[in-house]
Amino acid sequence: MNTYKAILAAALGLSVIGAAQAGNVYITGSTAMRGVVYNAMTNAGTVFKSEPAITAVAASGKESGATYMAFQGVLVGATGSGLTTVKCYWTGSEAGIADVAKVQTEGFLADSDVNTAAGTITDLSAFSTSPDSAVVNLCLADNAQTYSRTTTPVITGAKVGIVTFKWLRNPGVWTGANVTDQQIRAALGGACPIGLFTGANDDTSFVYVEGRDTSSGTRVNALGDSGYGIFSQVEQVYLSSGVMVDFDSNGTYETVSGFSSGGSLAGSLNASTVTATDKTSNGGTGFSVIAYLGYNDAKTALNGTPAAVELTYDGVPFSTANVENGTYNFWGNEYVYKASSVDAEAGLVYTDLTSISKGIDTIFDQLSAIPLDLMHASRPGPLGDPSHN
Amino acid sequence: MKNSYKAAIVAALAMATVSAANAAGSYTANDLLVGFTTQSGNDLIYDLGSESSVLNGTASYAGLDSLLTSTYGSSLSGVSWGVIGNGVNSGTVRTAYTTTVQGVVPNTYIGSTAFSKLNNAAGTLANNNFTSASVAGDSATVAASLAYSWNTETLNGTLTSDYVNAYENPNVTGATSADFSQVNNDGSDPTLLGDFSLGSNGTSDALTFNPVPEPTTLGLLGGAGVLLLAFRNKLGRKQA
Repeated sequence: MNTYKAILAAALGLSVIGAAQAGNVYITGSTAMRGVVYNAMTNAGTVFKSEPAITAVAASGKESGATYMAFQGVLVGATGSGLTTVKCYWTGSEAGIADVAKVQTEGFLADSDVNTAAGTITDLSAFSTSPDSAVVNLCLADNAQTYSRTTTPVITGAKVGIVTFKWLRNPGVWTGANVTDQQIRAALGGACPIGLFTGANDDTSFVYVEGRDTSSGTRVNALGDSGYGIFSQVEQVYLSSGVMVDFDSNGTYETVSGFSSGGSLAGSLNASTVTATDKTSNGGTGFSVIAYLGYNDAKTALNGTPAAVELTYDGVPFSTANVENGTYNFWGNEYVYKASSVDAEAGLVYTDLTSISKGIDTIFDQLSAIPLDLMHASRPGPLGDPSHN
Repeated sequence: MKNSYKAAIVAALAMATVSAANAAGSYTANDLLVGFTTQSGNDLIYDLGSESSVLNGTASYAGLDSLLTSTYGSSLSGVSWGVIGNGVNSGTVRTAYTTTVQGVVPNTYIGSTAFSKLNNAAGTLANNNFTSASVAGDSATVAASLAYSWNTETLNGTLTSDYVNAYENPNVTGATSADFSQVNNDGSDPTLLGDFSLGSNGTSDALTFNPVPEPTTLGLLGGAGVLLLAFRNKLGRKQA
């Protein structure tokens, strides 16, 4: 009798788990591409047959900039009318590749939050106490797995387009408009005397890099494109309202890590540091920061107050044409990867996203992301220069 | 019951493994890292412990012999190796440590920016090869072709951030000795601290450190020599 009860309970438990997880597809990865994925998911005919019946995001600001998203509808390519929920948690490209390759679990919006949403969830606390913990099926990455920190196990992926980045500076002591690879490398290595940026014999204040943590594909591209080295240790600063934060709590006010999201990094640039205290061992009053951001996060920083300033890169301004022709080279190849074992629905979402000229590339805005067929230049990865096709 | 216990243990172990694999290491100031490479296959990187523990002879290099044997077999004749380390990255004078070919004085360097380059290179080795803050006995085998191998950082790297380009090549090759020096970031002359020696195989005490005798020790030795000479002369006069 007890055995019978135990079997029954186990069976019921399994069925509950099955019901809760059925129809969900889990995506992590590139924060730079979260806006593009949002547009792809809400665009009828790209991933879902029609605009999703439910779109839920946890965001205090713009919905397409949310860290957590969920969409529910009928997938393009599905044979029936069954609903599928696609849940996204934008962790960064490197974290996404690690999730998919190592079959890792992440926390997503809970089913209860998604299923009761009439429109948009904006209250982050609504799901944070009981997230849906699930094994990640797919990820978007701003760099190929071969350039990542997780090169094995090898996972299946497809290049779907080009993702663009920008260098910005805050309203600080340095007021320049262009940054070179050499200056970037010097600043990535730690405090860079301002004289290396101004050309004057001046080391009374310093230029620092504000940047992302090691989960970021934007960081991979910034360190690779500049020639600093993807795996080389950096010394970045972390600002909050223009004040240096002792991120590692070791008194240095410099860190090998950084911001976990491009949105937070963008916001930190909207502060003047002309009269701020340099809390590193250099001391003094007034300093500057430069930062690397995806296009949409850069836009946020450029529209903030006081506004961050866009920098030309090695003398070349950002434009779609300059990216397409390879003269502006701060961009990366965008990939969608899938886990070694995925169910039919996750497989369908992978196909929907990666079908060239039918998938995610059809809704690229040609600013933050550019379709491959428009590019006149290509590169193997962040360590190689673009060559004209 | 037993199975549940086993399952719990297995789950706990699995979590620990995942956690360790995901964790990024870091370089502990003043630790000395020794690296070995044949420029192909796998490199071996090992934390010898703090500079002071190496100099005062309390560092044990536990497990290094067996690591050398398992990585390179019975002969170390073609293995390039060197030792690097850095002091704290703050203060007016910052200190780096490096090996050089015997008789070769390491380069001098000036300024905190120059020191940061050395410090970041050591950090690159630790961050990517260890899973937490480096401590004595930490080790890693890493493919020589990777960006964060000993081979790339100290011998064949092409990036300006690689140790060999940010400073110099600290390696010697095979069973030999290498000078070990302290170099401060004020441009002053390096100070020879002693020499490391590598035996021909890794079976027993493959790596040893011999400090430069302290001036007081030299004085005592000199004094003993003078006394010995005087005693011998006295003995000689008596016999005559």
